[in-house]
Amino acid sequence: MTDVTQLLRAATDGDRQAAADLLPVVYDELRRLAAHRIAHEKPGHTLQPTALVHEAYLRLVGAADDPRWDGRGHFFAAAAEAMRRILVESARRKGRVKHGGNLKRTPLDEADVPVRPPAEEILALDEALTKLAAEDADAARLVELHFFAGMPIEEVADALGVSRATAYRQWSYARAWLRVAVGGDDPAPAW
Amino acid sequence: MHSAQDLPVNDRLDLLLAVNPVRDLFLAALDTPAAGRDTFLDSACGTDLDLRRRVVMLLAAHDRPDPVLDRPAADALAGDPSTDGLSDDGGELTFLTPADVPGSLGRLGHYTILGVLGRGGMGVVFRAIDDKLGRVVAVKVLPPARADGAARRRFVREARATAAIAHENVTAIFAVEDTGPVPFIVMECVEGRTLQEKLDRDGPLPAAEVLRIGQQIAHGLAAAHGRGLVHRDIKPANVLLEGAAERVKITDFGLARAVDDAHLTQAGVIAGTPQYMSPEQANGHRVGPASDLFSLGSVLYALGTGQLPFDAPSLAAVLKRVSEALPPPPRQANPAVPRRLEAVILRLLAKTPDERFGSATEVGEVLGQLRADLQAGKNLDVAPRRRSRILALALAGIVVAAVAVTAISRPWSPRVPVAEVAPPPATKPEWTPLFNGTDLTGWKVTPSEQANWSVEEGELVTRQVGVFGLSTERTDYENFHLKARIRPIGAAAAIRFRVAAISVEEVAVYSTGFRLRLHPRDGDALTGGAVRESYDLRPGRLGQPGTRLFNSPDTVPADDPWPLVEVICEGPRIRVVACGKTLADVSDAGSRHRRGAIGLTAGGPEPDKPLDVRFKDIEIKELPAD
Repeated sequence: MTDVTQLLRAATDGDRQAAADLLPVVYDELRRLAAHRIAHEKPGHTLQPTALVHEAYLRLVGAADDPRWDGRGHFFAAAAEAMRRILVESARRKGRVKHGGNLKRTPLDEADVPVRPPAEEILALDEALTKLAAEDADAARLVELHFFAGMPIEEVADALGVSRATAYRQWSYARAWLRVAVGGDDPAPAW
Repeated sequence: MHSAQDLPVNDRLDLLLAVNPVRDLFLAALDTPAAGRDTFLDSACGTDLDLRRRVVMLLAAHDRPDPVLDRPAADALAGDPSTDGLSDDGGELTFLTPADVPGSLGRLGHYTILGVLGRGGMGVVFRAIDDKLGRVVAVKVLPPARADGAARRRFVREARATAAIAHENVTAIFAVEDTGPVPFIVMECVEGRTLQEKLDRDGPLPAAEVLRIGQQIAHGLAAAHGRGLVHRDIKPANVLLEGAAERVKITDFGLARAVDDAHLTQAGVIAGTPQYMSPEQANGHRVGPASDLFSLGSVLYALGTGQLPFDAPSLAAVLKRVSEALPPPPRQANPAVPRRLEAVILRLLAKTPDERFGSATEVGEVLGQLRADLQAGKNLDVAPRRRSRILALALAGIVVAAVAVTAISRPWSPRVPVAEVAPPPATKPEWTPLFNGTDLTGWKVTPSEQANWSVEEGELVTRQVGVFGLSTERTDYENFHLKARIRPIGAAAAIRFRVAAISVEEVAVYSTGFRLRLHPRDGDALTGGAVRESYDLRPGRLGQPGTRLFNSPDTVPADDPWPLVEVICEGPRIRVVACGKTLADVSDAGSRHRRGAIGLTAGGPEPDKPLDVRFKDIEIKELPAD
């Protein structure tokens, strides 16, 4: 049984510290995986967070686990948050390089994930998502899993233990909410 | 969820007491058909305008595609499209590839399928988003089970036939895809209800409505017939009514055949809806344009009386009546039908095609003349006085221009019916005020928004950031020079107007600068750009794909409290001049037909912070058509 499996079991039993301890482990693994991929793929090839998350799960937990096991939910929650951090950090670095005139390339081992949406939009979303979490934590968690970890809504529903219909509705609300929050200075068409 | 039309008070209370009423109302509104949302929100929000505004903002955000959020990181970072997707689609939707846009059923080509709009005789119609152009479209798919050679050819022929018509009273065809496993047609998504639904709900319509709808159907038919096409299934269910103005859009050319098509009669096969069918159709004889005129007569009969001209308990009996019986005179069923309209209907219902009217164009002219006479206060029960034909046509033209709706997205084509071509507007060299300085005469404002606009000391004032705004009652501004003085305090104020190819155009004034925002329907069609170098030309932030933002800081002199904004629209060219400087000079090659309303709106950096935005000296000068 791996360390991560133990943490997941503890988290499933309600150990909040175990859930918190999970994040850095998953984060490190995801960053490492991302950096490795970037170093070995052709230039211009982009990464798929959801594949990274699944690979990290296989490496840290193993394939043998019952997929219905509740621990998966904890793992994916941690992985989604880790992925969000990695993307946001990459976006920040991009911004810094662009605006600060620091032309030195960030080393690969820092997992500078190529982000296709403009960095500023990732950052704006991240900020808005923090606000959404204060108002509706469930919706924010869903956005992390769906948008940042790239999981299809159906998988998110399974991971969060809600029905697909509920997950879709939650996403509709969160998406609209984030749009309003991010694009708040743009009055919508009146007619 | 709440079925919306009349939300009981208890439900309303539940919503207001809910932990997150904005979310709950938003989700309930999503379950409500678009046409009923306003009513639903009025009922559910009552006087809580703030609640309503928040919900409407969410709904507006929901309805627009978002290039970032709609490509979750999974897609955004992936080299290949995700293979994960919906698994619970119905068997007949297997031709869709998965998509993880919420609520979407899947993808077809570069279209994200959102839901089923309807099922016709020849396929399923979906509501979808064109990912490339970011607009909502209707996608009609021939189900795979039926995509064999003959059906497929017929289906594709329907699309090509309709696409060739290109008329504002016919649903526009954007694309025909015939290369994949299932053929599909991409067409204009008409927001509104069918004429059948209107008839079911409203019963017999007033003469003015019958004339307007009939005239527009005639115009659409004239365009089709001009292309050598017969619709063959004109009935209220195939007439869509677009938007609040209920502009007619003839749809479902599923049975349309070229007039000279050798295979147009098939023994034993009756195509069409029996109650609206012509005698020649009922008897399996050769069918021409006059057959559509007969069906139009049946439609007008039903609109005016609420009854079918040829009704019977069985299909065979209906067909017999269609081919043999004379319909009861419309005025017998509804004495409110004017005599002159009755005469038109009965002539359309003549058994012999030659006795009907010469052409759909002629029917359009006759109905247009009746409309003009009705509007001029004439009694339509009395035979008309002879008068100049040219004058009658001109009057009809003006009427049509006045009811034309904005935001038409379709390729331009010469319009066939003579009566529809508006005469060139009389050149008015002088400026016409749009705002009279005392009240909102000439402006359209929704009841719930009325409290947010006021007139103070000759200035038009709003202190609310709104998704609503004011727009002119006139919606047919085409070539014009508009000017207004705008004073935004701690906020942005904007003039907006709609034209055909550029759906919303906004000239926003900030305290120190201007912003011009264009949403071209086809991003590639826009040429030209910012004149001033200080412009920040970048794609819209989380906006629609193709949105052009021109930012121009430091344009407003510090000592000018009332920056002057001018917009000059001439043909495809749009110029924006602010404080005497030309900010942008763009042309939209795809747009030759542009009519719209002028709108005013206000926005601020924070959605809920009150503002003080003022407009004055709003004037317009119409320019001669090119």
